Amino acid sequence: MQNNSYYEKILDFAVHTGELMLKSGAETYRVEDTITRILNHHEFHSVDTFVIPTGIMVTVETKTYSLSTKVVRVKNRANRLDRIEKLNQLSRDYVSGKITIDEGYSKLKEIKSSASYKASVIILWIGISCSFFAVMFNATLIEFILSFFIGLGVGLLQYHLNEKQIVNFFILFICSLFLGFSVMLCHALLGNIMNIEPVIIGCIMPLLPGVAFTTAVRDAISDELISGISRAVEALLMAVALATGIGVSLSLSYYIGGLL
Amino acid sequence: MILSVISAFISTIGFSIVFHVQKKHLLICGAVGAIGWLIYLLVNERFNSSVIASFIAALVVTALSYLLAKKRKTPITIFLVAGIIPLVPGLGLYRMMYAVLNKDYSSALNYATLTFEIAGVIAGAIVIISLLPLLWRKQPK
Repeated sequence: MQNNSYYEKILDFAVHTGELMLKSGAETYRVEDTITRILNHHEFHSVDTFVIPTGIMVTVETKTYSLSTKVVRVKNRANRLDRIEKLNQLSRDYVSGKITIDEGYSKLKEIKSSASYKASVIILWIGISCSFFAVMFNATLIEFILSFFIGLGVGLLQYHLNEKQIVNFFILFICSLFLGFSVMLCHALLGNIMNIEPVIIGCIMPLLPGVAFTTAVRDAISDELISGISRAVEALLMAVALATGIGVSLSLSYYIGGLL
Repeated sequence: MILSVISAFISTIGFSIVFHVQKKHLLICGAVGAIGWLIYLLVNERFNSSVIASFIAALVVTALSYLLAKKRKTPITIFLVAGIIPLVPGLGLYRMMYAVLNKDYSSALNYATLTFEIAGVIAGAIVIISLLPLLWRKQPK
């Protein structure tokens, strides 16, 4: 049982679990912790993991089996909190001995292919949460309705651009550009019965880097300095992209409409 | 204000769905977001400072997410993200941009500082609540 291919299989399982976690938007320390726990469950001499938001490196060593390293480059990160939860449960079950490695593999595949909500449901909820965010910032009924539809548009646009796998900042820039122009168009059509501020804030809320920010803080305090810094920069760049998009669209609309 | 808290509840649920939180946690996520926003509003009314309000709301939200994560055996991120989202300073960011467009640079700087302060105190609140339990932790082997 204790031959080389067995160890390689364990290493492969651990690294793929970590990879899927990182792709689902988990914090770096959580990925490191999970990989280390899975590998420490076996009789390895030494286990070293190094995880950054764009890659994983793991080296294991046993007495009979010298060294084995696996490096994975991670692209296309998304936010799939359900997967993180399921993978957490999977690693916990594995370490406590409830499931074997083969069952673990099939479960990993199951989680990888699991879909949670349909795209249409998500886009609809983006619209709903946009409109209720607008209410939180004192929107009137007409602003509430407008931000629902503009939010739907932003959600749809973001979904389609995400399919094309463009870099995230550019998607945010385009979305906020669309948001600014459509708000200004509504303002031009409806005149002074609407206030643009609640609509813009309501619709920009889903695009703001809340998750990146929270993850950055949690990484930085668990001594993952590189990940903490890179995620903080990610959050800052996302905010800058959004602000630029809004700024460009608003100033252009003012320029065209001569409202300023 | 009641309307505002209810809409915080609904919009936080919407958010959690966007981030693919499982169905069984949705209502709790919404409740965490609503509680955070309620505390923000109450403190903001009392002290008239959105920085202090964000700080206290973030403290409560983080503590609450810790307890919930322990109790329901889930990663803390799920509740923490839901609670933090309504507090993220989108208003400051927008007003800053608007002031820049109006060439009103002094109030642009004001809003930029405010945005960074709010982001900073939210981060500080997460740090404080996350690190405090470590003081009472037993020596790790």
